[in-house]
Amino acid sequence: MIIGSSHGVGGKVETEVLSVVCAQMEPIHADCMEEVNQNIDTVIQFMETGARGFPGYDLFVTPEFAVQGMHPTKRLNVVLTLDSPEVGRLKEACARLRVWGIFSVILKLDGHDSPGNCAIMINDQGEVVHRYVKMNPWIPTERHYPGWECPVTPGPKGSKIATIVCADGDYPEIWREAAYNGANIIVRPTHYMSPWENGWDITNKMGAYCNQCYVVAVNCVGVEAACSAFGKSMIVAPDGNVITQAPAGVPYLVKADLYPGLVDKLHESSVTNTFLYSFRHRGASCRDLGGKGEQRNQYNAYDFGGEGK
Amino acid sequence: MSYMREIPYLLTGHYVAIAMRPITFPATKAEIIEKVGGEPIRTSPDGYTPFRELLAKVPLDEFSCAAEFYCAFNAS
Repeated sequence: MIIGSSHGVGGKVETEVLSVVCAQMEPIHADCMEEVNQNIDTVIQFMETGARGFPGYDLFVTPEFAVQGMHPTKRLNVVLTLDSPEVGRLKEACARLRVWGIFSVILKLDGHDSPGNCAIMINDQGEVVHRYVKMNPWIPTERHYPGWECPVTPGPKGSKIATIVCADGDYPEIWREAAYNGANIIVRPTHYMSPWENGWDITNKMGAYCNQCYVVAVNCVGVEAACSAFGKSMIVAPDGNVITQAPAGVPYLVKADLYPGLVDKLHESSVTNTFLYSFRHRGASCRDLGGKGEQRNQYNAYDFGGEGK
Repeated sequence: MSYMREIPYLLTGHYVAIAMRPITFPATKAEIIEKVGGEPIRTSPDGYTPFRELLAKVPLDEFSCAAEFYCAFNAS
């Protein structure tokens, strides 16, 4: 199933099975609510296709900008709120199909003029249970307000889900933040563009391998005003190996069964490559350090040379 | 094979891992000793050491995960 640890793992691995369906799609870059609703029509069609093709699936994931697109000049015309009718349609679809959904939406943020590029999770009762605001907007092009935290939310089947969005994944620290906060699955909706196909591949694998988490990375396709999103959505195992991947350039559904309890067991029982332990206990096998290792943060990069807070 | 006989202590980790099979984490040193301290661990081609003697030298008393245990074990 996975490569695992160097040492034999004791005990049993107990886990539920989480069936994940990802929609690789080409959103309209909307300049009005009518076009937003056309995108939502497409999202719901994908959700229903998933239900026909993969009956009983648990979690549905869209790419970044799936609901509103990213119109180069009129994007502020289509900013939503969590109680808007458009988000209401997504809530209704989750409740009706009895699936959880992770959707990329541009939301009004209280106290800020600029909206946030958000990922929300709606449960199978139609309730918004998670909101993440993209911490690393793709500057200088993207002018959304940056987020300030990376929450982890219990999902279906023992999953503990963090979301990061697109360019976030180019920063190793956000993957680590998600895993450190307890995620066993990190979901990354993106509008990742050519010529960064290789960056897409290595960052998703790195995020999974370096943090022993599943990565569900869902990309757009299509050519629009300034770029070409290439697709290649992928689901990556906690050892960094790709479980499944969509082709480039076409709308697609990918599906995989994930085992959230396996990640929890890896974090408890792996001996080597246990980066969430070892990054806080550097050199823990050195006799000089009493079995605990060096626990101080001695990286300038992680506190900006002492000016991080 | 002669190579393996010349440095048999490298196999000790294998026998420790087998002895540790019933242990899940978090765990204390006392709990580990209680559960598996009586296991004989092969520490030379012809010699065995009770696991509790090896565990007694480990510098920590509590282990949050297997990595912490094995790091501390190797630091003993």
